[in-house]
Amino acid sequence: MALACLGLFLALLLYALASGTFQQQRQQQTLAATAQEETERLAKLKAQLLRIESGKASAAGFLDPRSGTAIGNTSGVRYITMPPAPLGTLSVGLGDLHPYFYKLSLRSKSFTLNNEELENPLNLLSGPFDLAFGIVILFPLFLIALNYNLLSAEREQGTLALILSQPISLKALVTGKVLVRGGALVVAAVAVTLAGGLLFGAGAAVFPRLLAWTAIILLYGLFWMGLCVWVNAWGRSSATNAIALSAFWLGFCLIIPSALNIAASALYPIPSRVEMIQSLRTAGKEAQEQGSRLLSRYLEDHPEFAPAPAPGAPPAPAPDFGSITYAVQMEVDKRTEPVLARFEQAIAQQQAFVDRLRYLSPAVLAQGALNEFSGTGLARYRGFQLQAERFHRTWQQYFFPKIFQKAKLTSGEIDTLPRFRYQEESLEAVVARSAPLLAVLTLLSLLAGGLSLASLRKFKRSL
Amino acid sequence: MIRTIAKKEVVEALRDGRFRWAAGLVGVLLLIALAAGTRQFLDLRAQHEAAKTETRAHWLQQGKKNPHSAAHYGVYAFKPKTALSLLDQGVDPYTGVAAWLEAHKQNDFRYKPAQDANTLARFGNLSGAIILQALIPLVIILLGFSAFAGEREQGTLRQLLSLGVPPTQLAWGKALGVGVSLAMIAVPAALLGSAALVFAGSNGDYGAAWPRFAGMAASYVLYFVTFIALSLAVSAWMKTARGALVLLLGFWVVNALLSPRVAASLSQRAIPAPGAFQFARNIELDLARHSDGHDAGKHTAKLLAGTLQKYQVTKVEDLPVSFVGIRLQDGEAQGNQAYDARYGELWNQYERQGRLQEALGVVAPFLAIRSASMGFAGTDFSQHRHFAAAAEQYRRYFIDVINQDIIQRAGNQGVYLRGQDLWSQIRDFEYELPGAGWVAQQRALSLAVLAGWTLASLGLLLLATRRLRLE
Repeated sequence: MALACLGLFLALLLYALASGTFQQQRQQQTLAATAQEETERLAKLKAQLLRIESGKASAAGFLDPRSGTAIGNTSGVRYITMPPAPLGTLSVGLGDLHPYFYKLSLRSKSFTLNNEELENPLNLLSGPFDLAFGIVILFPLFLIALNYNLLSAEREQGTLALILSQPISLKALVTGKVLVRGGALVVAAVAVTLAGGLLFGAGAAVFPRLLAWTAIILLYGLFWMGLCVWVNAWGRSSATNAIALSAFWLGFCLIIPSALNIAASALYPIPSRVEMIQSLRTAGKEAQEQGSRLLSRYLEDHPEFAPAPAPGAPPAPAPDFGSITYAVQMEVDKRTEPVLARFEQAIAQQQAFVDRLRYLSPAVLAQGALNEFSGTGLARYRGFQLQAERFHRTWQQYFFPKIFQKAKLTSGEIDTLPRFRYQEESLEAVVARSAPLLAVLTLLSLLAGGLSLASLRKFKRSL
Repeated sequence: MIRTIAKKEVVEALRDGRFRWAAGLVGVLLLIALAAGTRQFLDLRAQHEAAKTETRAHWLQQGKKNPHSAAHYGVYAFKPKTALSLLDQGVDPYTGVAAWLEAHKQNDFRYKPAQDANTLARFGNLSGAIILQALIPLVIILLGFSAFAGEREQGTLRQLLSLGVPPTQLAWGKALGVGVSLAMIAVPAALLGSAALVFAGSNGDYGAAWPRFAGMAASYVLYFVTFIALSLAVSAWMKTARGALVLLLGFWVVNALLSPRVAASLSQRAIPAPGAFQFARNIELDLARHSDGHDAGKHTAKLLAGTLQKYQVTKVEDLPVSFVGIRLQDGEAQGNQAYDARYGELWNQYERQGRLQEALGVVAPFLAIRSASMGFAGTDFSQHRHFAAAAEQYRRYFIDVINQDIIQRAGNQGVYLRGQDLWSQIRDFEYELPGAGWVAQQRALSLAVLAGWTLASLGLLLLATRRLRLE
C-alpha cells in the first residue's frame, strides 16, 4: 500500500515534469520562430533598400519602403521577447496567461502591448499539470494518505500497547514512522525537482533556485507531517483522522484561497475592461479629430523635427498622413495614460490585499515561493511588461522624428535599429521578495512540528 | 421498509457532527458563491449594456468621413453574460470579453478577465459550479461511506440481514436516506439559485431560459445520484468503513482534482493547436499567397483589367463604379477565405480537445458534469465560438454595406465623404443565444457519459448488495 502510494506519487510527478517541459518547449519554439522571422524580414528589407539605393529598384508606391512609417510599423519591426523562465519547466505559474513576447509597432501602447497567447480556454480553466501543482496540491494528499492512521491503526489493531511495552518511546515511534513514510515522498519530490531542474533548467544559474525549491519542499512537507501527527494524537478513529486531515487540506488548498479571492474582488473591485475599451476609444476619437492640430503643436514643441523646407520654397509644407497618424498615436498614449494607470492601480491594490493575507495558507505560500524561484511569478511578468513599455517608447522616439522630418532610412541603418535586451531580474530581488514567504513557511512548519510533539505528550498521558 | 431505513439514515446523519459541520460549511459557501456570482453578473451585465449602447453611439456619431475610414474605426462586439453564468462561469474568465470588428481583419477576443485577476484566482475560484461539482460529492462520500461498512463493523448488518430485510430494500432505503439528507442542502440551494436567476433575469434577459436551468439541474441530479450509488456500493463492498472512506476519497481526488489537468494536458498533446505567433504567421502567409504571392501590384492590375473589361471601358475614370471599392471588396473576400480556414481550423482543434475531455468523462464524471453544466450555463467554448461567429458575420455584413456604398457612389475621382445617414443604415449588432436543445445536442457526449455513470453506479450498487446476501 505504502509502496503503491509512493510509486503513484512518483509517476504523477514525472508526468507533471513531462507536461511542464512540453509547455516550456512550446514557448522556446515560439521564441525561436519570432527570432527567425525577424532576421529573415530584416535581411529582406535591407536587400530591398540596397537595391533602391543602387537604383535597381524604385521606391515608388503607396508607401516609400525607406520611410519611417513603413519600417517602424511593419517591415522593420522587432520583437520584444522575454527568455523562458529559468525553471519554467517546473512551474508554469502565470506563464500560461501572461505574454512573453510582443511585436512592436509605432501605434499606441495599449494597441501594441496587447498580445495574448492563444490557448484553448478550457485548458486554461483546468490549469497546468506541472511539478508545482504536484508539490503544492498532491504532495500533502499523499502525505495524508500515508500518515493519517499512524497511531489510530495500531490502536485499532490492538498493537499500540504491545509496541509501547517495548523499550521505545512514543515520540521515537511516531517521529520514526512519519519520517520514514513522509521522507520517502520528500525524497521522491526533491529527486524529480533536481532532475528536472538540471536537465531542463537554464544552466548553472538555476542551482540556487533549485536549492530554494528543495527547502520549500522540505518545509512544506514538514508542515503536513506535523499536522498528521497532531491529528493522530487526538486519539480518534482512522476514519475521523482521514476526514479531519482532508478537511485541513481542503481548507488550505481551496477554501482559504477562494475566500480570500472573493473578499479581494469584493473589497477592491477591478474596473471593467469593457469600460476601459470605451475610454480608450473616446480618447482616440478626440485625438483623431484634432489630428493636424496635434501635429503642429508637436512641431511647435519640437521645431527640430519639422521637415526642412526646400531652399526657396514656402516654409510650412502640408503635414502628411503618416505624421498626423503618429502625432495622434502619441496623444492617444498621453490621454489614455490615466485610464490605464487607474486600471493598474486597482489590480495592484487587489494584489496587495491578497499578498497581505496569503500567510493564512501554507499552500498559497508554497505556490508563491515556488513560482518566484521558477521565474514564473507575477513580479517577473510585471517587470517584463515595464521593460516592454520603456522599449516601445524608445522605438517610437527613434522613428517619430524621422517620420516628421520625412527622412529616409538607409540600408546601413537597418542593422542599427534599436534592439530590446531583456534584463533578467537578479537573484537578490527574487530572494528579497520570497524571504517573508519562506520565513512564515518555516514558522508554520515549526509550529506544526511543535504542536505535534506537545500533543504526543498529552496523548501518552491519556493512555 | 425503505422509508424506515431512510428515516434512520437521515436521523443518524443529522446527529452526526461531521455531517452537520460539512453541510453547514457547504451551505454557507454556496450562499457566498451565489451572492458573489449574482453581484458579479449584475455588474458585468450593466457594464455590457452600457458599452453596447456606447459603441453604437460612437459609431453613429463618428461624423463625416470616408466610409472606409469608418470601417477601420469599426465597432466592438462585447460578449454578453448569460444569467446562468452566475452559477457557472465556465471558460468565460479565460476568453476575452470584446472583439474589435474592423475592416480587413477578424480580430481575436481580447482582455481575459483571468489576466487581471489576483494570483489566488487560479488557486480557488469557489463558484457555485465548483461547489456542486467538487464539494457536494465530498459531502455525499461523508454521508455514505459507513452506511454498510459501519453497520458491518458494529455487527448490526448481520442482525438486519438475519431479520430478513431484503438487501436491495436496505440499499434503496439507505440511498433514499442519503438523498434526503443531501436534499437538505441541495433543495434550498436550488431554490435560492432560481430566486437569484429570477432576480437577475428580471430586467432584460439573456437566455435566463428555464429549459437551460432544467437541463443543468437534471445533469446535476444524475451526477449526485452517481455519487450516492457509488458511495453505497463501495461501502457495501469494503470490509471496513476506513477502507471504504479511503477508496472513495481516492476516487474523489482522481475525479475532481487530477482529471481536469490531466485531461487538458493529454488533449493538448493529442490535438496540437498553434500558439498566437504561429497562428498570426499562418494567416499572414495565407493572405500573401492569396494576393498572387507577394506581388500585390500584379493582383491589382489583373483585377483592374477584369473590371475594365466587365464594364467595356478602357480607363478607370470611365468606370461607372469605384475601383477603390472593388479593390476593398476583393481584399475582404480574400481575407475572409483565409480567416475562415484558419479560425475554423483552430476552433475545430479546440472543440476536438473539448470532446476528448468529455470522452475522458468515462474515467472521471467530473469532466462530463463540468462540460454539461457550462454548456447549459452558456459559458462553454462552443457558445463562445457561436458568439464569435455571429460577431464575424456582423463584421462582414457591415463592411459589405460600406464597400457596396463606395463601389456604387464614390466614383473614381476626388474625396468621398459620408455621414450619419450611411452609418445609421447599418443595423446594430444583436445576438441571440442558442436554445437548450442546441446545447443538449452539442453536449450530447457529456450527457450520455453522465447517464452511463448513473446506470453503471446503480448497477454496481445492486451487485454489491447482492453480495451482502451471501455473507
